[in-house]
Amino acid sequence: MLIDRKTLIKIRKYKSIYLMFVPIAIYFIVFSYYPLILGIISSFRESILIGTPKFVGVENYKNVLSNPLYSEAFMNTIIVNFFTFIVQFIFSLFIALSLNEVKNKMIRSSIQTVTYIPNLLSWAIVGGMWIRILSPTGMLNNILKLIYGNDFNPIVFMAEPRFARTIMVLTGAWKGAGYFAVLLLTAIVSIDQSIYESASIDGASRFKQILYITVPNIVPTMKIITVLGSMNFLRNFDQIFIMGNANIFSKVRNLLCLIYTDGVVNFKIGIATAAATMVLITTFIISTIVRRLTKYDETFN
Amino acid sequence: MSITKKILVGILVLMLIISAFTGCTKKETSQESSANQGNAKETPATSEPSNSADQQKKDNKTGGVVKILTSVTGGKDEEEMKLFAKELGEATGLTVIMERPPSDYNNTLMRKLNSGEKLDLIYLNMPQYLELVNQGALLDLTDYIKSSKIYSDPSKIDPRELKDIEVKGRIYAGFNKKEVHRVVALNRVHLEKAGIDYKSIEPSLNGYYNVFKKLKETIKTANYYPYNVVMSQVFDLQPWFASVGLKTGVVIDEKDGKKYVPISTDDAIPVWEWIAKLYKEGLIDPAASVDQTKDMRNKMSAASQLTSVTVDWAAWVGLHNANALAAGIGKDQYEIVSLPGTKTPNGSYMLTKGAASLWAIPKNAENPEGAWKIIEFFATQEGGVLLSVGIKGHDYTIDDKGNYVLTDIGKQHGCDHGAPVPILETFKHPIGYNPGVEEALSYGKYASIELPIPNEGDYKEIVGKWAVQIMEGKVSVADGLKNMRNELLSRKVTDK
Repeated sequence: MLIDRKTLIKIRKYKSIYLMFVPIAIYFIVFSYYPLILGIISSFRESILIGTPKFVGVENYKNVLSNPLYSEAFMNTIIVNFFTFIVQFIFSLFIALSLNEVKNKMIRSSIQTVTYIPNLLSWAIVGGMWIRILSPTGMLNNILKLIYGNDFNPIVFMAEPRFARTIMVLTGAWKGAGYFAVLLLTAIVSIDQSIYESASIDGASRFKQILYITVPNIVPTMKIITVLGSMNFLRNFDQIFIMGNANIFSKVRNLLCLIYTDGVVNFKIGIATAAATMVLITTFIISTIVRRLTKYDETFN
Repeated sequence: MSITKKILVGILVLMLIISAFTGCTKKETSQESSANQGNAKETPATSEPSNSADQQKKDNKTGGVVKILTSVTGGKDEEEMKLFAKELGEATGLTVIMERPPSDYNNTLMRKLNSGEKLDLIYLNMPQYLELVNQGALLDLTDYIKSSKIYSDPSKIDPRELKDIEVKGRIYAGFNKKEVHRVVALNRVHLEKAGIDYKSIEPSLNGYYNVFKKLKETIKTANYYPYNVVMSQVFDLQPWFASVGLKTGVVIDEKDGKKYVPISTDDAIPVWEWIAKLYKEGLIDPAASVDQTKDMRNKMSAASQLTSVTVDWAAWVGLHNANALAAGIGKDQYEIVSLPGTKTPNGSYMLTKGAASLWAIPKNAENPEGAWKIIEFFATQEGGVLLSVGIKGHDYTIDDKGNYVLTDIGKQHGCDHGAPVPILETFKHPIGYNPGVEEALSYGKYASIELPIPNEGDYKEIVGKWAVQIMEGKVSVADGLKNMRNELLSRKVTDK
């Protein structure tokens, strides 16, 4: 039996509480799982916008797997998002640890606001801003001009494939670091202060206190951040859509951008949904591996 | 059961009922909603049954409701869109419901068609048209066109325009506007400062190179470059490739019927070398590799004047001038003029005409007759006025002498409500085109469309990428073109 007698009795006893979950379940079924199932069904069809679609089996999946653009996009997605996560994580940890050391409340909240604001802005704004900063007449080239003199030929950073991934990694990490920092800082401030006092009495330096008290105490939050990051690993669309261009697509165009082009621009729903289903499965695999590696379930059970 | 539990259960049941009703209720679009509100205003709700009967009678007589999904055509904001739909409805005797997605038209169109929503008329660009024809999603309008007094009259609709949208001898759409062409746009005031009369520019690569050199020597504004182009999307190189007689875009070789890109062949080398030379000598804006059309236009505008020569739509020659005049910048300070570019080896010119922007009727439309009536109306003088000048009493008024006078709103809208140049061949613009447009339009005889292909995005991406590499001197012209050809072939843009 799937549910034992004891559990059934419990469910009956608290049925009003369980009933309260029904609207939430309905919401997810209608707005998440139903479209998801429709998408998976579409991936086995040669979908057309009007009329009856034809069942084509795994043909769409074969098309995706044999398309070199998808392989290239998969590698781009993994490389850019992996390094973005690493840099963002280190950057946010640095912000959180540094902020904890700032005792003046006003300065601390100001720095926190400044680092968090980019996370609130859309990529349309942030991307446009960075494109301008990196343009031939932008801030970075003007600084280089000041250093190297008027003979300096401006570098078109956004047209250079060799800089493309680095730009995406750094701008992505810059935008998201504030959010991770808030999570880490929340964990840091909840650490029992008496541990620091004891360490201080024992003569531990501030650096050693950070290393041996703060960092070990925020490991569970780090795990949450890592698992959250792994679930968003293949989901970066806006940044590349806004900041990408023909010159650098071979280095940065990711899976979601290709899915968008196939599905929305070219109306090839079957191929797009097949690729989207593969992204879903890959995300599930990646997040499962990350959960295992970080022993996430053991920590939170 | 305790009172608390009863209350909780009661709330829960209520929530479920509300959820169920919300989920089952047909979602009313904002346009439907506004249209309904509009109707309510016009026909006050009373208990008299004759009112709805009258309305029904009127709908039957006039052709019923037409639901339109539009992109660029219509009012400039929600309020004006209602006025536009009302004016269109009054002119055609239909009840018109127009919806324009606030953003991402493609996505909305795809979702609506895919979800089975019944639209009567949809706006399409050429690649979307080809894909939807391929999917069998559009109504075949060939017979409508043959029996139409407007569309079958060559003096009203140019048969070449119809030929351009033929797919295997059939036509599945009508026109939103007359597509114009791109011309070489030049800042006359800058040229005169450099001692150049634009009419005397030698129509060759060398002639334009000399112009750029003189401009660079004369204009000393910071970050100024004589020429700018959207190189990453190859907008628009035709006036220069004309010098070697090559057509931009994809062409079908008459000998073997295979698709190829002429500007990727070795015959195109002199033009690519010329572009690389312009870049090397600082005559072309280095941002050309990343600039979008709006950046290029900003640099060309009266407000910035950071470039003197671009290649842009004929209508934009006029818009630059109109915007400058509206900002109080006179012709002595700024004026854009136009030329047809370089001469072909046989002494003519080659320009690119825009691929059609179209109105099509989906196969599941509920009122195809009404939709066709609107397509036909857009090809009349009155329809052209609505699509260009705008709405009577809002964008313009007519004085006692019968002259059209733009209101302040009309002036802001620049005589463009979807079709600055309407499709009707005999259209008489009641206000007159913006300064410079007529000169630019006079080069239309040299213009032709690029071959419409469904994977136009791939073409632009590949050619644009290698064009930038060649321009910046990162690869030799020969290698760059070889790579371009290989990639075009591997991505199935070309057949050889």
